[in-house]
Amino acid sequence: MIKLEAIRYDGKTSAQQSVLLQLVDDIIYVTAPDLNQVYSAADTELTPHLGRLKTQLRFIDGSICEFERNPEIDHALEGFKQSKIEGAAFRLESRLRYIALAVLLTLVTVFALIQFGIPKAAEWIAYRIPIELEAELGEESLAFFSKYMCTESKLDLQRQDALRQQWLARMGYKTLAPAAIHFCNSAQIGPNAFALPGGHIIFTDQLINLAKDDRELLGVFAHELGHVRKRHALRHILQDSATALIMVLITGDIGTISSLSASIPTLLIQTKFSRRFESEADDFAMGFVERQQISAGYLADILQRMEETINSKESSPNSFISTHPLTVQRLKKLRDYHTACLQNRSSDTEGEQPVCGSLPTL
Amino acid sequence: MQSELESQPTIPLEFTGNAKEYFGIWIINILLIIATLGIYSPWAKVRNHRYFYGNTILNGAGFDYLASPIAILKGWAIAAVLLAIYFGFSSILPPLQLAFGIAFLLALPWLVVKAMRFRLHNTAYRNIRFNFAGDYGKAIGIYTGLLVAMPFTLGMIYPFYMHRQTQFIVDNSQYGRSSFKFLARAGDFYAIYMMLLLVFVVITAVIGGIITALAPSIAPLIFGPSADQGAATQQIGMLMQLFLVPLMLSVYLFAFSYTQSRIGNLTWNNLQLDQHRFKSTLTTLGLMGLYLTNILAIIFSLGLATPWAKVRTIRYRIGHLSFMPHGDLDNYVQGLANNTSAIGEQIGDAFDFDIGI
Repeated sequence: MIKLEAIRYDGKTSAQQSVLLQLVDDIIYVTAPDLNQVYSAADTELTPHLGRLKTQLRFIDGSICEFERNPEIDHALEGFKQSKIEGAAFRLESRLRYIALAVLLTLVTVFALIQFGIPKAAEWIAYRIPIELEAELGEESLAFFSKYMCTESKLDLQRQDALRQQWLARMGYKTLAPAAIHFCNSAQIGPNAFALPGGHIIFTDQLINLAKDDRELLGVFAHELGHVRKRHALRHILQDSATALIMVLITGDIGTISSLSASIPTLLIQTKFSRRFESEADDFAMGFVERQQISAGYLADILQRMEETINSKESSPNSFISTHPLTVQRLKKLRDYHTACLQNRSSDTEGEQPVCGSLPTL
Repeated sequence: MQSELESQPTIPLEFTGNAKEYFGIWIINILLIIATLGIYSPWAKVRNHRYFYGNTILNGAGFDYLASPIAILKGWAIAAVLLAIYFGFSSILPPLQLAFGIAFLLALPWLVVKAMRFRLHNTAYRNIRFNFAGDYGKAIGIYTGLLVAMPFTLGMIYPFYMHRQTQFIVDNSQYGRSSFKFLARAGDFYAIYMMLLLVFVVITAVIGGIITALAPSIAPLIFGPSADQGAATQQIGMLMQLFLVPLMLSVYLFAFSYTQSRIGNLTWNNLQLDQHRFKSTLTTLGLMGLYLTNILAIIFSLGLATPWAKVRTIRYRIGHLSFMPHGDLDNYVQGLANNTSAIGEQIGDAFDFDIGI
């Protein structure tokens, strides 16, 4: 038998009353000088154990008794109606080892979510937003570029148009075309190309002049086209700004992001595209040029030359060609792709010949 | 005991919870929510509410939160289905988005009323439940009507909207069979917001002026000498942008703390139940300090200091709240039974925003 002191609230008025509780098997007696109630455990609800809160027995007549809980009486309380789920939760909450485990698991999960979940979510959303909706973001980025990064192109207008024609002619008629191809002059940036939101591609004059063959420039165009097709600019913004990501997830409206952050153009220019994005763009470019019967080696060549040129001056913080080891990896991959393509062609005597470019003549 | 109460002018409220205890509850909530892919959320919500309500002590008794997690789960599931339908249809048929937007604006007061009913009916003190008697008709004028009018008045009716909203909630809240009453007037809200605007303008002008005056001298110190006027201007621009963000954040923190403390005090000081009153003594600086240290702690602890911050905040707010009884506290009678396991209220609960104590 368990005896407890408790406070009773009868549920009819807000008055409180000191009572004595007695638990005998599954019967509970509530007694006071002018009170004598009997209840059965099966009809009585026991509030879940939570921290150091007082526990309540809630009786079938609407009255409750509140008392301090202690481990000794836990056993006697088993017959009462109670939440198994919350009982289990309490056992976890009150033991240090489970708390430590929970902290560890939470940190790991959150980390995994950020590392994998966010890029995945950004990709998923970006593909579902038509590129036309990026127009405003694109305009802002372009404006930032022409204001801070480069000046009007010194290239001959005919040359500009000729290049544009060349490149657009190579694209299939069904595919996502860039919104516009721009040229501009920037000694600060040097030879480089950028893919901005909204499908804008920018080439610096310095890059055009660095090329020894137009097929090299086609390779770069294909790479930038890859960025556009894979929506890297938008994915970059969404990945880097959890707020932007959540907002777009909920509202599906990216117009508000551009007003949300005036620093987005800066973000796009100052921070590089991730390795993954560059790799995706390279993969796209490789397939694209080889299908045109042009070797991926051309892209590799100009990439190498760009790296050498940029490293020979003070390294620009705005470069999209990042660290040495990464570029070496990319060059190798591009050249290997071409070699493998040739090998497949020569070894495949039956059936269709895989389309491959010829080796660039140096 | 009664005579003791009547002779005591004020009874402070107490918060008896602590961060260590709540950390365990909080982290296990997160663990179980992740492990059950979110299904445990209603149980987490109930445990959270019960912890904070139960450790809020007024005159020797705590508050109870009586909602059933299963009921909440049902309501949330239905709300989730409705939202999914909304997103599904609005992406297929964009024009539907406008229709849904309007429907939501009309449904908002209904949701507010339902959420309040669910929350209040499931709150009890000394085993007497609270109630909410507001109805949709009154709510729509405030929540839809005033909200729609807001842009047309350039936000000038915002204090009026705040007043009407608080009055609607307070006047329709009941403990047992007694109603609360809100004694403040719209003018009181205007006074607070006007003062805020004034202070905001003055501070921005002063600090903006200081930065503009000093920037030309400081910029070269940070960025090195500039080649020409153009570059110099660019440097000054960058410097001002650099300072702008922390400045705006500080001003925002101040404005937020100011409104929270003033509006909080105004609301509690003008809350009346029969002849009983409340007294709230929150201060702008107190809240600013609280919020700032909370934010820093949360950032530097990768979020693990959140339960500590929550406990701290509640303890501060409750520590600045007291009760001034005037008459008998034992005579409150249970309200007429009303069934609030209705689905409408459970759905409303899904849209419930934490107004906080």
